[in-house]
Amino acid sequence: MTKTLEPSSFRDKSGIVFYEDNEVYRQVNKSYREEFDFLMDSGLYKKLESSRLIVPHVEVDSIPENEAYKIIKPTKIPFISYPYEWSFSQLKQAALTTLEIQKISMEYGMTLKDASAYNIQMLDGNYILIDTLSFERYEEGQPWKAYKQFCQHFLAPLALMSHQDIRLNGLSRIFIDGIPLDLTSKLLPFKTKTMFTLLSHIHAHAKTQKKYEDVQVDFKKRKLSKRSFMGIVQSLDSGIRKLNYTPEGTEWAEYYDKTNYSTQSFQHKKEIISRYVDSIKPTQVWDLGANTGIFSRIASGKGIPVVAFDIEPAAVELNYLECARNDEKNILPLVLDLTNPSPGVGWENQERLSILNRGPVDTIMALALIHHLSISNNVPISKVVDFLESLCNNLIIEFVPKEDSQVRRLLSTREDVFDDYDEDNFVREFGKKFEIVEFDKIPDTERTMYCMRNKMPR
Amino acid sequence: MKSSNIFILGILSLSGIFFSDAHAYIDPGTGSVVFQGLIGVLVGAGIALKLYWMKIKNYFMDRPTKKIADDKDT
Repeated sequence: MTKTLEPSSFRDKSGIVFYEDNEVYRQVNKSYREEFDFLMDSGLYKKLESSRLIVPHVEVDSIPENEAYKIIKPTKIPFISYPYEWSFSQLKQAALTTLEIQKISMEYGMTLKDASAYNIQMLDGNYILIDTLSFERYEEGQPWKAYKQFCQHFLAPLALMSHQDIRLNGLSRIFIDGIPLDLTSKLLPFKTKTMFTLLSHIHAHAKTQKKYEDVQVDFKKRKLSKRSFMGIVQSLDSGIRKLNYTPEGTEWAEYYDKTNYSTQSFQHKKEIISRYVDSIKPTQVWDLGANTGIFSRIASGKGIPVVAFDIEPAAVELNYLECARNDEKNILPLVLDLTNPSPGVGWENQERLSILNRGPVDTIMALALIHHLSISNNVPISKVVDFLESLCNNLIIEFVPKEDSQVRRLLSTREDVFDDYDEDNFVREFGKKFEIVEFDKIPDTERTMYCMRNKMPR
Repeated sequence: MKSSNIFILGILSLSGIFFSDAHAYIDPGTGSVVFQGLIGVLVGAGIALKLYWMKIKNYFMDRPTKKIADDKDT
């Protein structure tokens, strides 16, 4: 049995996360004993668990060593994602979940000592807190220690996405502890100074941070009444509920309206994919270039967990809203640019994993994707093969030839320098690393669907 | 601009926060803690006002109901 420490688990001295036999465990340190017992004995954990707001755990019968008080085994999260990969409504839901947990905690005499967006993950379609050691007992008069972190991790990116540009969520990838409030204040349009929540929690908050950068303050004299504490939490809650984003006017959100598929060929494509999925029986699927998730749902509808990646935040937003509307449990939509996928970030580039390090996955679907990689982004087919081969055991991939109207559209504004972009070369290159199990021409189109198996399973 | 926003601008201007231009060594939590004291007073007062307003509203809303109930008793 090899015990591996979670690379991001080092800041909080309350405990550590580690892996053993492909399972995840959390060690509760002796220094956190009283807080942990209070969490469990006060009824707070039970309340949060029954409300599906915290990851369920069981205590493990083991002899704790050294500084360990207890070892708990939380339910494993199928896929860890990061706030810079979430759409607007996903981040908004994660923010509201955090505030809901804070409000309930106060009823039980506890408070969140941190409010990191990375502590919120999706399990069975719900956003939940995964850090069971995020609580401390509340003492009347204390401020909310997680206030600044909450504003940086949640309010700042939501405000920027809502009032400036949806793409600004990418800033969360650069600033691992949330977007600095002074920067947020600079980037937000002037009209946000007429909005109470943003005027106070972003603009004025940033000014106060600046003013007190080098000032010594006696915190014992700085008391915050419980009413004020609750007022701040409520103010953040109502302000965040007012932030909105409407996905429209973007390329991919309207993609299916522009595509050259007839209703019949679209149906054929679905049937082919469904047959391939039935024959592979994947344990997990990554749908690369999933758009709004129409084809992802073929797999998720069969009870298979699917991560549906797309480059376009609008498409991911629509996908997530569909999931939320239908209470879908097996699909996680995420924003991802395959030509510049999420890298490893944080300390030693290991706190937040790259996409490659979160694989491999049993099956990848790459539908109507190859022409965007090879023609729009000049990635040779051989490099696409290497990338996919390193990530999956099975592959469902669609080849879109130059004769297809979508490819003609891509080539209409540029010189065709893609001599090796044809189906023969596609089959030759993929055949080096994959066994082609079956393929089907999609009726009434120029396209072909392939089902492949990695010759060197991951 | 809403009256609540004018109020907060007033408080912050008076306290020398909103238009100050200090800079120097970093203490990331200090300003946020100080700010909670300021904004907390404001939103806490807002909650208190809301509660009192609800009480007043309920008092007047309840009166006719109570009267009907009293009538029924007699």
